[in-house]
Amino acid sequence: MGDPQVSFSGGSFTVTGYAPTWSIGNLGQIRLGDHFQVTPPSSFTDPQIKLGLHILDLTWGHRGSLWLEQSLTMGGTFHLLTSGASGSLQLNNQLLWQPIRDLQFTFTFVMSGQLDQTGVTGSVNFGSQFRITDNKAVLGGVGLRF
Amino acid sequence: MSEYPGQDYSGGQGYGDQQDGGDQNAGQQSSGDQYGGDQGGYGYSQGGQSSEPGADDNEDVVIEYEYATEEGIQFSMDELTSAGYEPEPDDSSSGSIA
Repeated sequence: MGDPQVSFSGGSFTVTGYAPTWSIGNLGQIRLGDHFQVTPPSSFTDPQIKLGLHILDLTWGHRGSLWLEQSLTMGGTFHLLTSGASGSLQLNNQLLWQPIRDLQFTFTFVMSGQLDQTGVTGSVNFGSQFRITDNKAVLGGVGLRF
Repeated sequence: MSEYPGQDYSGGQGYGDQQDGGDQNAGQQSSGDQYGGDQGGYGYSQGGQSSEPGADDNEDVVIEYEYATEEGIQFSMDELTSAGYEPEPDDSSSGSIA
């Protein structure tokens, strides 16, 4: 029996989700594939997809919450739907556990590395895009200013 | 999906404490117990056309933002199998992922 071995040199797993009333922090506490659509690279074989999904799960279990938290140290843009006012804003971690009326996101996981008898070693490039919609007063209550 | 199910993601998954390549976001907040502290300096508008004071607080607002990072990973075969991974019986069906 040969040694099972898979090399990773790219390929993007995409997770898309709509999670009304969830908080951003909630996303870090779940297995993404249990609740949202995970799309593997179309070129992957079944064994490659199976391994990639487990790497995604393990990586998210280890790092998901941290990445979500770190994402809130970034800036973003806002758009007020009635007045039309718009601009940029600084996010903050008070938003992490705030239930959001409309939370939409897209995550991408690009994996590089290899599997051998001892396990898998490599790197994961994680990208995320968030779109959140809620009442101005609600979001103002967690320190955001528009 | 209107309600968060409250699942414990890590329970029984054998994630352990393995480090996976270190934090490559030096300078960014990196500890899960740091949020909730003094964030008073945040949340300011940085430009654009802001709403006037006293504008309708019931107005809806859309916020969009992005984040990206790259981190090393290292998972043992025990971790993979604990998470449900079953190694292929041979390597004939596996190959390079490009």
